[in-house]
Amino acid sequence: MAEHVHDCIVVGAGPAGAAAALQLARDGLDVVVFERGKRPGEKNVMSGVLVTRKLHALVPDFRQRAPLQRCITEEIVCILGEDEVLRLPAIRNYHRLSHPHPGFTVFRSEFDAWFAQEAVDAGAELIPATLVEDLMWENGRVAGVHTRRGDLRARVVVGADGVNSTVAEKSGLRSPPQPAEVSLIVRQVLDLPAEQIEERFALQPGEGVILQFGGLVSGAPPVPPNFGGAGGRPGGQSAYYTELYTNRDSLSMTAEVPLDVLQACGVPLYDVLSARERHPYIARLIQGAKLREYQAHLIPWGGVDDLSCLYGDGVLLAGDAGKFTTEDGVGSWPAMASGAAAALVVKYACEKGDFSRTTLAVYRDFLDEEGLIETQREARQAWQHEGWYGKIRRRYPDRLLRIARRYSDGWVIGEGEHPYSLWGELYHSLVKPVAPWYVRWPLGLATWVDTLRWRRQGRSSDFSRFGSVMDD
Amino acid sequence: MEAHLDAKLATLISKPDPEPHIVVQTELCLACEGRPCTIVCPAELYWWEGNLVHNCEGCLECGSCRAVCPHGAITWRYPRGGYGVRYRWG
Repeated sequence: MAEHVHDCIVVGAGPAGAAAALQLARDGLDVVVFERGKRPGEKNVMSGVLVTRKLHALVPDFRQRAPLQRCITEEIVCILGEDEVLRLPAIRNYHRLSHPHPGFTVFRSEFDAWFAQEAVDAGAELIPATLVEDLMWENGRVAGVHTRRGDLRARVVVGADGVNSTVAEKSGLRSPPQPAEVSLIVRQVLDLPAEQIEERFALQPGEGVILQFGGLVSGAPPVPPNFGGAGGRPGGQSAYYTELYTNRDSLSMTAEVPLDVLQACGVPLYDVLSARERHPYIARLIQGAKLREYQAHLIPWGGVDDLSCLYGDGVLLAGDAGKFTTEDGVGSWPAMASGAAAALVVKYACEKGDFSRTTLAVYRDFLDEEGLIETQREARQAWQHEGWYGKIRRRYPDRLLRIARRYSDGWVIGEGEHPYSLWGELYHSLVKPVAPWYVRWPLGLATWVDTLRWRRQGRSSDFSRFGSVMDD
Repeated sequence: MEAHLDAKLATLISKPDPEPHIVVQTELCLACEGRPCTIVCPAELYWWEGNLVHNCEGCLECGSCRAVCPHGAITWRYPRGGYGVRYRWG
């Protein structure tokens, strides 16, 4: 190839890479995108909802043009027991249907191809079916990329090549992922006619829901409740996290677990997925569905320790390569936002004519404008120390189930159960383990009084007016 | 509905890279106790038959094996451009 020096090479045509290329092409810069798949998106797996806030900023009329599946109107959190399910309160928001940028389910094979085409239409050059194998160095800075089809030079290389990022490793900015900082996710797409999906989930065409399951996995060995390398990592059986979401004429079902937990438990993830399929509630939702495709992917979580590993001399990292995910593991909008921020950095550096690490450090400011520094910090904190909501959702599913079971059975005490009143049960299960002392002491005292009074009344039910399934 | 792993893997289209993209230094595996690669691989491409045996075909390219390998015995890279798995419904 000729010794032409491009303004920018973007490695990877996923959401981060395509957003960067789109922004750069619109700013009139000369940008080349490398993609290892024959078509963008065919190596990618969507594990959740596409959050479209940033997409709306980049392509305002995406709702008319992008290949979307269903608009997500409700996220239902469920806790599974052996043969029961607790659905936590959730709101179904019909106003999201007319919102400019709600969440959508998408197939990445369709969506990424469309998004990359947007960048190509804006003037970016896409080179598919080409793997970037190494970086080209010149005077201690990155000067281009090596591929089997030849070398290409650029003033800046943007690494948007995902969780197993070649650019991040070869540039020395980040080391390969460690088991504690990635989750493995397996996903299967299940064919089900649109009418049946709409009937089962009470939807209209174009509307969708997402269900998130924690709790017991029948057949998997127990995980110590506080297992995990870092402080607040999810433990217990709820470390196995399952999602079910609706596409136009299919369902996607995933099972996800941090790699270190998976390694310690020794049960393969596809067996966990099968165990979840057998749960009576899920089995009823997916009944009659036929397997369309099986997939697997790693997702990074926990953010980066130090933001200075996101930029180097002539190189920037965006998307999963820079571990841009929220504390809940949502990576779609942080990928697009970090890609767009990287593009602004490249434009700034081109105007200045300097591509050193010092100049590219302006990436921090652009990330801050996108709210991504905050996101990285939150993700890091959640990884090191889980918040109270995460604790309740992930760590105490059995306690929540017990409360719900007694509540719906009219608050009858079984043989050998702790004789707490309703408030006693709520306090001991949910408040005491997470609250600070100044909440614990007064509430503990009130609970003690309440339970004493309740016992003196002969343990009649707080909810006896609702009747009980045990009454007869 | 419930399908075995073989049936799940049969839904995939894959074009194996003639140059193997996973290379294992099996002598290092002899000292390995947990053999986590045999547990985590979502396509069951690693198994133990007195020494570690692996198969590069049908790899889902997630990179779990490399991340969990405690002895650095697994050299893993992406298959070359145009090769490897192709998700139609990713």
